[in-house]
Amino acid sequence: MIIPFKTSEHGQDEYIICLRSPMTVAELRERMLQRAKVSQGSYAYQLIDNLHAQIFIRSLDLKADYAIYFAREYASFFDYLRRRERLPLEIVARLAEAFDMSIGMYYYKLGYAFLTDTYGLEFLTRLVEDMPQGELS
Amino acid sequence: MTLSLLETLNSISTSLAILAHQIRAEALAGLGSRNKVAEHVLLPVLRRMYNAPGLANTNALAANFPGIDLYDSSSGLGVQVTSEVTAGKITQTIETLVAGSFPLTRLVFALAANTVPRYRTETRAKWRISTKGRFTFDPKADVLAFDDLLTRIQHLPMADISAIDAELQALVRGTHQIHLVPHLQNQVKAQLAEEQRIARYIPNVFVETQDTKYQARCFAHPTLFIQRIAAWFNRQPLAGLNRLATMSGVPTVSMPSTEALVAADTLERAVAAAQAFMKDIENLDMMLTPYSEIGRSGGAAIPRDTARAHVLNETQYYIEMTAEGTKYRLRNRSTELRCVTARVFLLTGPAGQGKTNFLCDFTERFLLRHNIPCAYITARQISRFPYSDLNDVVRQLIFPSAVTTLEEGLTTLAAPCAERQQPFVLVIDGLNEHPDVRTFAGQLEHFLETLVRYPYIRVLMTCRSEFLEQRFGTLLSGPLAPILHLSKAHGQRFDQEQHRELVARYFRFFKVRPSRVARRVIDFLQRDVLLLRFFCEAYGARGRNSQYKQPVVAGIYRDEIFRRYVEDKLGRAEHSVVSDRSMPRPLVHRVELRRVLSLVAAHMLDAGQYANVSRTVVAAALDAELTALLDEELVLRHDLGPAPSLLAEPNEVLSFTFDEMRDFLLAQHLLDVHARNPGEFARLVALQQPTHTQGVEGMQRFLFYASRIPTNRSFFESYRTHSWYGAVYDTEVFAVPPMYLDAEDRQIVEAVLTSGDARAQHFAREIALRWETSVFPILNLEMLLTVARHADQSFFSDVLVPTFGHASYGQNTLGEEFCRFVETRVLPEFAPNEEHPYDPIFRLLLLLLPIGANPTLDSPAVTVFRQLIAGHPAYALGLLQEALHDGLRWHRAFVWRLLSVAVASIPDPAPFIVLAHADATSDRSDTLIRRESERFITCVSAERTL
Repeated sequence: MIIPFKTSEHGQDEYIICLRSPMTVAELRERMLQRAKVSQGSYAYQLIDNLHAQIFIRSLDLKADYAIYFAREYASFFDYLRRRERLPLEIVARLAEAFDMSIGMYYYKLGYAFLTDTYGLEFLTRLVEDMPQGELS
Repeated sequence: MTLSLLETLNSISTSLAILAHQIRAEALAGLGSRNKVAEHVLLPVLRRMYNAPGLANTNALAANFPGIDLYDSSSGLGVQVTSEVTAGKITQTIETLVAGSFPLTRLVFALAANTVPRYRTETRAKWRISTKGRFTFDPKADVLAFDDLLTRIQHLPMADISAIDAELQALVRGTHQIHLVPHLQNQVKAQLAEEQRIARYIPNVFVETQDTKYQARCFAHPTLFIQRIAAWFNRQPLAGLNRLATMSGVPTVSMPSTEALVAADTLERAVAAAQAFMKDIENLDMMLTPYSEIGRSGGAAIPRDTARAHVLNETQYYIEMTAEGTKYRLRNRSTELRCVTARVFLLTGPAGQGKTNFLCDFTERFLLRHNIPCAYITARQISRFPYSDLNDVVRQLIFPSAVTTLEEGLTTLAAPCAERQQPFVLVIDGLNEHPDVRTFAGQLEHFLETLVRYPYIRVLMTCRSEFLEQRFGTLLSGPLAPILHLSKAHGQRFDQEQHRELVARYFRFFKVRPSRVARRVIDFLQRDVLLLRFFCEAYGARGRNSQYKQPVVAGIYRDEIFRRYVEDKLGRAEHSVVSDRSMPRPLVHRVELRRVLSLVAAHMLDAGQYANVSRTVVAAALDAELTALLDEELVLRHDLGPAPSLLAEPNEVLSFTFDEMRDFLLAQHLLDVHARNPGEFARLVALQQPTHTQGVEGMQRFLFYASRIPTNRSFFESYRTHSWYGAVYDTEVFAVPPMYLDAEDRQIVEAVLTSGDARAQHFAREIALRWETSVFPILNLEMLLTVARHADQSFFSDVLVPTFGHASYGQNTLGEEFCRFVETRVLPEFAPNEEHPYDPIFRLLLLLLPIGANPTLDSPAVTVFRQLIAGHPAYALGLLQEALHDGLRWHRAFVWRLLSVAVASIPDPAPFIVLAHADATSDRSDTLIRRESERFITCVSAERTL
């Protein structure tokens, strides 16, 4: 599940990417590169590789962060997201619902201009989502 | 449960390790009381090891035994217990014993250390010779450290080993340690409960800035949060910059290793790793500086690949931005690491920023939930002890009576802190609240110097910023400065959702029933947190008896809020002195409490200055009352006033805590003066110049409110003609509870509305919001509708259009807001056959049909009214018919248009057709009315044909 939202302060696009299948970071990288159908050594390859790193290496995993550092302080993940991360109520409710089913929740603050709006969400979904429509058939 | 040999030996090993840790901690603190503890601890062990049941502490024996701590008279065994492990110490002891006549047969050194140092062979030989045969001393066997003890204990019978284990546990991990941490937890919980009781702590409200809280976390739990700092660096914060650098042909920047941070599993290691990494960050920051100026002269030194110059030309701006952003984030990490190393954390900020609430929240949610050993005290509590030994006062406040000195208590905490790898955090709230700040500041510095000698003790404090520089300035510049972290609290910005949550939480805490508070009041309170606090204390059931029934609150009536609030505070001040069991305090009475407030108010009015009244204005005889009021806060506060000269000390002064509260109390004082002496009232009022200052305007408002209270009728009769009354009438008449208004107010407002000027627009705006006739019987929307019904065409252009159709740039008009209110709040709750209370709303909606309309006669009001037609056609038709009969011309065309839309719902169109024909042919009708009335006739015909 990918939840897009805009920060109220700057109107910047942000995403929270919730992973359900247990996969290693390397496996995720392979999946993204494969789905993007990029050739090794190409600019596109580097782009996707870097996007993978931006999301799954350089972004904060909210679920792990809560479990390791804040679970004692905040009675629930909901409380942590609301009070500490100050995420909008609607987003918090969706994330709290997805908590048990997710193995990681990556708070990705946009690094590429082309990932904004509807196109950005669609692009990320096709690359990252556990079960994109194309794979169902 | 019987422990196995291995478990028992492990337990003994743990006890000895803790003892070694305690002794080392004491040595660092320059103290030595643990040596004495070590004597007690080792005594039973040595008795068993040397089969010397008579071995006793020499202090307990009558004779003097220089150089010997433990002695067995039957075997002649003498033991010295020492944490000093130097060869010189042993040499000196031997020489002392040889020189004396002490009947010693064997000498043993028990070192309070983990291992025996490696003494040189020559030294050991020298020791043997120095005994001169007076007693046996084998340097190899008779110098014992804890690891030797453990080895020898293993060879004892199991019963002895178990007994030693039990004795060690009792002595090392004994009474104090077992009970001290739970005792401290209870102390903290009791203190937090007290802070809640006196409403200084309101749980679950958003109070703190993110930065402050995070810094406090790093300070109070370094071993955990240093890992999070390391995790941030491990997420490659330089990756973006380095990617750009590689593309652009400039060198990348390497990240320092976080290995030491990750490995920091003890408090000491965390501090050391943080100190080292702060230096690494400093270097990294220096390396980033040229990148942040790569397009300018500052970045000229960075080597570049000329083949990639064209790329750098495009990317240099992004490199600068990224480098600058990284530098900024590094500064935050550096601050956090500084908190890891700090021993004192001082939170400062102006009054009303929620410092106490933050501290309580942090203690409850963080310290207690992480099981961090801690204690919570306030400077106010400290001030209630009549003597000046701050160490002893703190001991009494936090430790059980069995702990006889502060040092003993602090030393005992070494073991639980070492076990948890957490510091002990002493929380001290409100340094500035000590009535004798000057003396207290000196004591505090000395006290903190004592505390920081213990490496596992940390102190978290708050102080108002005004007092910090003046009274506690030496903390920032003296010997404590390098280990003190200063954090500045500032107000938090909330979004609308958070404001809503804030109000809900305040209501829950103060037991305010939202069902008895009008929605408009709740909306208003979301915008004013301070008023929210006063409101909750004034109306909430918290702290009141079970008979209390919260009144229905239909509006923000400040006079009533402050009146109830002050009454309540005076009662609490009286009660808190009676119920304070910590210290005997003189009782105070409400009459004297009022007198203190009155004295301060009188002085302000006489001087025409509404703050900083010298504390000496309140006579010493009223000192108890003044202290009680200061304790209650939120009414009166003391500050440091400006110093009269460069060489003089600033004076302590009194002010009312908040401006509105001050204006209310000044008005109350004037009211009182008027009752006793109207001439004096006139004199004081005349003194207040210029009359447009904020303070005077506030007094005018509160005097106006007071004059409208029925019990103050005689004041009203004389005051209503006063210029101060008229100056605020237009705005404040709507801030008076509706039941205090009368027919004269209605006449005044009606007269103003018909005049059609700017005042009319103001009144129209105010009464449009008061649509509930049952709640607002005098000044309400119905009144506006009546005036409009009888007004000529100019009322629309002079009053309705500017009131409902004009707005500042970027803002919604009142008409748009009104339509949104009807659409989102009224229509969804609008039940058939229960329309009546909403009549005025829809009648106003009809009046607003032309406002904001386009040439096709669409407008916000038309859109909403169409929804009404769709949902409630009969009711809507009734209103439209009524509008036609009213005969107003400005919205008549819109009414016809809406009827055309609703034509299918009209059961009998005949009466409408008559009116439509009349409009279509009347000379009074303009083109628009003619066109729309004809359209209606056409629509009816079309409907019939169908």
